[in-house]
Amino acid sequence: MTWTPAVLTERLGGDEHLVRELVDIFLAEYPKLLHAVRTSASQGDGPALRRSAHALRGSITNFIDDGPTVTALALERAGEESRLDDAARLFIQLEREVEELATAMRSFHGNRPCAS
Amino acid sequence: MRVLIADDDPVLRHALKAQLAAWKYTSVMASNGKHAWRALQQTDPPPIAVVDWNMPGIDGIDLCREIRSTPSLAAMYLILLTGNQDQKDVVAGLESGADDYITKPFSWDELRARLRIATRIVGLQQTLAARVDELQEALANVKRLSGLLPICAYCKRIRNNQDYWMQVEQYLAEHSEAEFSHGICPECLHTQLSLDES
Repeated sequence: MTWTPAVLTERLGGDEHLVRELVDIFLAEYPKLLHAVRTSASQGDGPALRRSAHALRGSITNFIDDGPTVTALALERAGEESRLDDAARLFIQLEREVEELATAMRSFHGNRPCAS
Repeated sequence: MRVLIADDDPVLRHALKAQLAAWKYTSVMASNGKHAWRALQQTDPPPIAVVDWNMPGIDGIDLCREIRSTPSLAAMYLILLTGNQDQKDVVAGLESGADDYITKPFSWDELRARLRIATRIVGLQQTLAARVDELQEALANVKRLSGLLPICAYCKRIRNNQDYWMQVEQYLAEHSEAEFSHGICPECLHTQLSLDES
């Protein structure tokens, strides 16, 4: 998994300020989304797992197409098909990948361009 | 052109608002289906909506159905946005009343192109609606002459709705755009001259 801010910046018409705003919002929101996935997986609630994993995947998809996006989709399907034995393993993987993404974002965020 | 954005993802909502502003659209934002529905109850709602499928409360599919079954909103152009990529989902989305369907992750260029189509269709609909209004107004101004008219078999007067027997030219002048100039036909001229001589 590699998050490349430059790709998103280019997709957004070169607006790096907008990319930083989006990163800010994601960093504020993802703990809640991840918590909802953790809760539904631990409670063995298939429909709630599908919904919460879908919401987290939607948010991650704004930044990256692989890594946590793929794992969130697998969790979503596990919830949909009530394959809850897979959910615990997939959640551990998802949590690690999302935290890696968040770390990369914080690093990008700390590396603000100099004011000209 | 104003566009309603209904999506529960704050990241995408912010990105959509910024991009639409850069493309000269004005956004009306809603964080769920219920808020979107409330925004559409205001006077002069946006003619285009980009609606996420999966939202808490009223989801995008139900929102599309509600919009299509509401006469005042039935002409809205609806773009359904979703992470569901299965063909059956695309069909279900379009059958709910959406005009277009975009799957996440989407390309911003694609969304911009689809919004251009939406703008063009809405513009054509508005032009057509204005033309229909003009025609209806014109039709209302045209006096109509139709139906069964009671006419006297002898003097040829016509009975109006107030039971008054009117001269035929008076009746026609009141019920049509016709105007009369008086003259005398050769047959009547001959008859009148014969009467005068006798």
